[in-house]
Amino acid sequence: MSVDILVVAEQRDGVLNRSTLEAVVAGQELGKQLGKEVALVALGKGISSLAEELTSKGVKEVLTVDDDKLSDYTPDGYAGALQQVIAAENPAYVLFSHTYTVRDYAPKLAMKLERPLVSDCVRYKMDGNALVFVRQVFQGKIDADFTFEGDGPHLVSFQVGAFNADNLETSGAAGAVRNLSLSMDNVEIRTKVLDVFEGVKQEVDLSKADRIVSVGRGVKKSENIEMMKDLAAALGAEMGASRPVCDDGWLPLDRQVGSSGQTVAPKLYFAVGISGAIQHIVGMKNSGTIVAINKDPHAPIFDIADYGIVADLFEVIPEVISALKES
Amino acid sequence: MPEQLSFCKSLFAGAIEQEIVFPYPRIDAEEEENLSMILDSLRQFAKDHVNSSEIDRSGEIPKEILGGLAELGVFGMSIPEEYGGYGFSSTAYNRVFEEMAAIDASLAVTMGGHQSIGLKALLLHGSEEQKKRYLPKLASGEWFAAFALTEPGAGSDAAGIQTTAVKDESSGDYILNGNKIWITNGGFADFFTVFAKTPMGDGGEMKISAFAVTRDMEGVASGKEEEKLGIHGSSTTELTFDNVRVPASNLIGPLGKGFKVAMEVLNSGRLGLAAACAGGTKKLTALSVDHAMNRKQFNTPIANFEMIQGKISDMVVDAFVVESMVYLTTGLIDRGDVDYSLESAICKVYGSEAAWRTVSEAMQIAGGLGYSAEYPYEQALRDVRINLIFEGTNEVLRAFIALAGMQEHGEYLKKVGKALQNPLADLGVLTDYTLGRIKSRVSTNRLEDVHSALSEQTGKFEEYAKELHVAVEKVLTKYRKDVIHQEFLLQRISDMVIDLFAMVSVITRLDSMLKEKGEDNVQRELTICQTFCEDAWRRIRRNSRQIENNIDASRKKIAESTCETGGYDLDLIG
Amino acid sequence: MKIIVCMKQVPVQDSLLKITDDSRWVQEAELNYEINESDHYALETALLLKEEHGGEVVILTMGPRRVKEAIKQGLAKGADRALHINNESFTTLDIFINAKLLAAAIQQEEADLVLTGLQTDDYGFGQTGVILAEKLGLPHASIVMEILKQDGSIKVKREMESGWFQSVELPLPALLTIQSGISQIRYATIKGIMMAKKKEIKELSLSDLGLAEGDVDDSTSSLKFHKLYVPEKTKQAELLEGDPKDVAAQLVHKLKNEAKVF
Repeated sequence: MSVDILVVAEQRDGVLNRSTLEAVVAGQELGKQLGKEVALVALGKGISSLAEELTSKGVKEVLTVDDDKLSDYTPDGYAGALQQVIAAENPAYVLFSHTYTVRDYAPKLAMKLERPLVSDCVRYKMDGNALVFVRQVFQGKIDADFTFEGDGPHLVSFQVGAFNADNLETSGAAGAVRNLSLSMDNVEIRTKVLDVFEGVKQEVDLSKADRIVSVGRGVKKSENIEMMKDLAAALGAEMGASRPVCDDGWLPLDRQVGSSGQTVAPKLYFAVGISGAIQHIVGMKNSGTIVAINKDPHAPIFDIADYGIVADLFEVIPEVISALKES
Repeated sequence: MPEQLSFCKSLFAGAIEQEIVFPYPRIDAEEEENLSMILDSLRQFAKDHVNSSEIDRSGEIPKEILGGLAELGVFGMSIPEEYGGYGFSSTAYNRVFEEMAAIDASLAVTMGGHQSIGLKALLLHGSEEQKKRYLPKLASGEWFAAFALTEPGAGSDAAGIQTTAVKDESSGDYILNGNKIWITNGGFADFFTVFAKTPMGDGGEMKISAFAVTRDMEGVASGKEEEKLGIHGSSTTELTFDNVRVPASNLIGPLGKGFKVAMEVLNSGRLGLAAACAGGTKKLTALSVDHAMNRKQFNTPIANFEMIQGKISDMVVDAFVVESMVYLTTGLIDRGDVDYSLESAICKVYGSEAAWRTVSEAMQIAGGLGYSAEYPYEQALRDVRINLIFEGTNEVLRAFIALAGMQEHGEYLKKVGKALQNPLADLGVLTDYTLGRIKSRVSTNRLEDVHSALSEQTGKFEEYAKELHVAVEKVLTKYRKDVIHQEFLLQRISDMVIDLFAMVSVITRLDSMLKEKGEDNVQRELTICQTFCEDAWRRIRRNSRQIENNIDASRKKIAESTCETGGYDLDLIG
Repeated sequence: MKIIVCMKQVPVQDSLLKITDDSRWVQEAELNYEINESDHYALETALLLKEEHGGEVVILTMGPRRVKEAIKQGLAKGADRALHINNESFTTLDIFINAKLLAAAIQQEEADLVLTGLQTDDYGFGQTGVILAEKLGLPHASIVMEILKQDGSIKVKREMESGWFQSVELPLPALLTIQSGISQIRYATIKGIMMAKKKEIKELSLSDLGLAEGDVDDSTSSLKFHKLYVPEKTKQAELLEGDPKDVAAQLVHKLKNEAKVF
C-alpha cells in the first residue's frame, strides 16, 4: 500500500499545528485535480491520540512514526525519519505547511532525497496538463511559476495562510491509522534540545482585540509613535506593529503582528506606514475591515485592504483623529 | 609667495586659463570607492541615531552621536595618517561634510568648527612637534578644536583684534589676554587656535600671531551658550583669556604672520561651508519633491502645477551649480598649485544664497505645513540662515572677490598708483594683502575643444568673460584708488565673476560627462547646464549694463537720508 | 574559532523592479544592490564571536563582479578575508548546485562555524543554508537569535512561531542560519574601510573548487522555473482621495456606514 499525496503533520506535545490542516486542504484540492488520495504522516513520541484525531481530517490514511528519537523536534530526527517514510511510500507529492519548523528540516530532507523542494508557495494552478506552483520572490512583489518534471516524489511547502483550513473536507470516511516501524538506529541526532519556551510573556493578547492600529517602518522614528497612539486612543484600539518597529524598540515585542508575532483578526485593522511584507500579512489578513495608509501606491498592503489612503501619513492621521473625535 | 595660477583672477585680466578648470577634476577610483562606503556608513548611522529635530529642540548634540561619529572616524578625515587621521583629499573631506550638513546643520557646524577651521592652522603651519602633540587626539574625537578669531570689536574687520600675547622674557612664554566671541565649539572644545597681537621688535608694532591654546591652561574660560536663531545643537560661546601662559612652542607659524594663517584657514574653511550648503539644498529638494508629489490640490498633485515646477527646477539647478563649483574648487585645492581664494569665496556666496533661496521655496511649496514647527522646513530655514553671515559675510566676500581680482589686474595697478596695490588693507578679515602675483602665462580668451553640445554656453561664457574685463577697465579707469568705496559697482563686478565661475563650473562638468558618457546619457544634466547658463549670462549682461547706467546715486541718497532721520518717517497716515 | 559567513548581494529593498522581456528575471541595469538583510546579521554575529573568542572571519559570496562591493563592506566592518565565487557564466536558480559550489569553497577552509542569513530578500527560498549544512555533513540550527559558545559545542536560541523559542545545543563544527534584527549592526568605520583594501579577496573559479562545467548544469533538475510576473490583484482597496481633511472625513463616514465597525 502506498500513498499519492502525503501531507506532513506538525505537532508539539501532541497538539496539532493548525497550519497542517491548511496543507491538508491543499492536498485535497490537488488530489481532486489529479484524482489522487491524501494521507497524513505524523512524527513524534506517544502520538496515538493525535493520530486518532487526524483520522477525522478528511484523509485516507494517517501514518505515524513513533520513536524516542522523535520525542523532541530535531532536524536530524525529522529528516531521517521522513526520508525513510518517503522512500517506502513513494508518494507523488509531499506537502508541508511552510512553518518555521518546516523551514528548519524540509530543505535538509530535500537534500537527502536529492529532490528539489519548492518552498513557500502561495498557490498552484493548472496550465494545460502541467501543475504549476506559484511562489513569491522579491518579498512578495513578484510571482514566479515552477513546475516539476518526471516522477515524484515532489516536495512542496505552502505559505501559512495560503489555504483556508475552514475549507477542510471531512465528510468522507475516517482515515485508517498505520504505524510505520522505521529503523531509527542509523539516524544520529546531533542537536540536543534543551528547552522550548515562550519568549516574551505576552502581556497583551492582540488576538482578542476588536480594533487594532498597527504601525510600520513608515512612521520613520520612535517619537512619531505618539501620534499613532493618539489614533489608537481615538479609535479605542490596541496598538500593534510590524517587526522592524519592535526590533527597533519603538514598541514592545508583544505588540508585534505577523509570522513571528501574534496572529490577529480584529473587526477593524488600521495598517499605518506598513508596506505589507508577507510576514506581516499572514498575521492580520483575516481582519474584518482593513484600512491602509501608506505613501507608496504600490505597497502590497493595498492589495488586501478595504480602504486605502495613499498619502503622507503625518498629514492624514491628525485629520483622521479629529474626524473621529467629531463624530 | 610663489606665483600661483588663479582662474578667476585671470578673468579680470581678460584671460581664460582653461587648463586650470578643464577637464573637470576627479578623485581617483579607489578614493571614490572608499568615499561611497563612508557615505553609506554615515547615512546608516544617521538613520539609526540622529534625530535632527530633537537636536534642535534640546539645543545639544547627544554625546552618543559625537561618540559614534568619532568611532566612524569622521573627526580625523583631513588629518594625515601619520597623525592618526585618514589623509582625505579636500574633495573627499568636503563630500562627507556635505553629507553631514544634510543630516543635521548643528552637526555640520560642530564638525566644521573642529576640522574645517579649528585645527586647520595646525595642519597648514603647525610644527612637527605640535602636530604630534595635538593631532592624534583631535583625529580620534577625544578632543575638539575651535577657531578663535572674532572679537567684540573685530568681526569682518579681523585685523582689528585686541587680544594680546606678550612675551614674558623671563620664562619665554606668551601671556595671552583678551576676549573672543561667537566661537563655534567654544563651550566644549579642548583645543583653540587663537589669534592675538604680539609686539614686534622694539618699535612696539603689534602684529597678529596664531597660538595653540588648550582648555587645561589656566585662565581659559568659556562664557555661556549664545541663544541663536538656528543651529541650536552647536555650541557658540565667548572665550576669555586671563593671563593665560602659552609656551612659545605653541606659536603656530611665524611670529607676526597670524593674519595670513587666518586667511588661509578661512579660504579653505569657506569651501566646507559651501559644500554644506550643497548638502542642505539637495536634502530640501528631496523634501519638496516628495511633498509636491504627494500633496493633492484640485485633484492633482501640486507637482503638476507650473509655479511649483518652476520652484523645483530652480532648486535642482542651484544644487547642481553649487555642487559643480564646490568640487571644481576642491579639485583645485587637491592639485596644490592654484590660488583658490576667490573661488572658495564665490562658492560660499553662491552656495549660501542658493541654500537660502531653496529653503524659502521649499517652505513655500509646503504651504501652511511648511510654517509649522512639526515639519522640518522652519528648522531648516533657521539653520540655513547663518551661512550668509559667518566665515565672512557675503557682503565682505563680494568686496573681496571684486577687489582681489582687480588687484591682480596688473596693467592697471601701475596706472592707478600705489594706493591700489594694497586696496584690501582696509577690508579686514577677507583680505590677504600679501597675495602673490598670478603666474603669467600664454593665455587665450577662448575655451578650446569643448564638446559641441556646449558650444552655445561656451560662446556666452567667452563673450561675458570679455564683458567683465571691459567693465573692470572702465571702473578702474574712472575711479582709480577710490574704487574700494564704489561698493555698488564692486557688488556688480563680483556678481559677474560669480556667475562666470558658476558657468564655467557647469560647462567643464558637462564637458567631461559628455566626453565620457555620450550626449544621450547626460540629457538631464545638459538641460540643467543650458538652463543655468541662459539665466546667468542675462544676469551678467544686466550687471554689466548697470555699471554705467544705474540708480546707485538715488539708492545711496535714500539710505543716507533715512539714516539721518533714524528710520522710516514717511508715514502715509497718522 | 574560524567562522565562514555566506553573504549575498540583493537589489536594494524598495527598488522599483521591472521584469525582463523574456520574463526570466528583473532588469538589472538600473538596480542598486545591497547586502541581504539577514546576511548583515550573520556577519555581525560572526564579528561578535570573533571579538569574544578570537579567530578569523571569512566572507564567502557568490555572484557577478558587482558583489565585490558587498565584500568590501564586510571587510571594512572587520572580516579578515573573503572568498568570491564569480558565477557570471553559470548563474542558476538551482539551490542544490549553488549549495554545491558554496560547499566546495567551505570544504577548503575547515571552519568551526558556518553562518548564513535566514533567507534572501530576492528569491527567498530560505533553503540554501540548511541544504549547505547537509552537503557539508554539519548539524545546523535555523532562525538563530542567540549563540553561546562552549567548549567544542554551541548553545543557540532559535525562533519558532508565535513568540516561542527553542534552545538547542550543537557540536562544532556546525552551520547556523541567522535571524534579522537580533543585534545592532556595526557601521564600517573609515579606518576599517581603508584597511579593507589590504585584505585578501580570493577569486574562486570552477576548477579552483574542483568542479567542472557539468557540475553546474541545471538542465537535469526536475524543478523547472518558468517565468516571473507581477501578481494579479485579487482585491484592490478602495482608494480615498482628496486633501487630508476630506479623506479623513470620507474614511470615518465609510467605517461608520459601510463597514459598520463603530
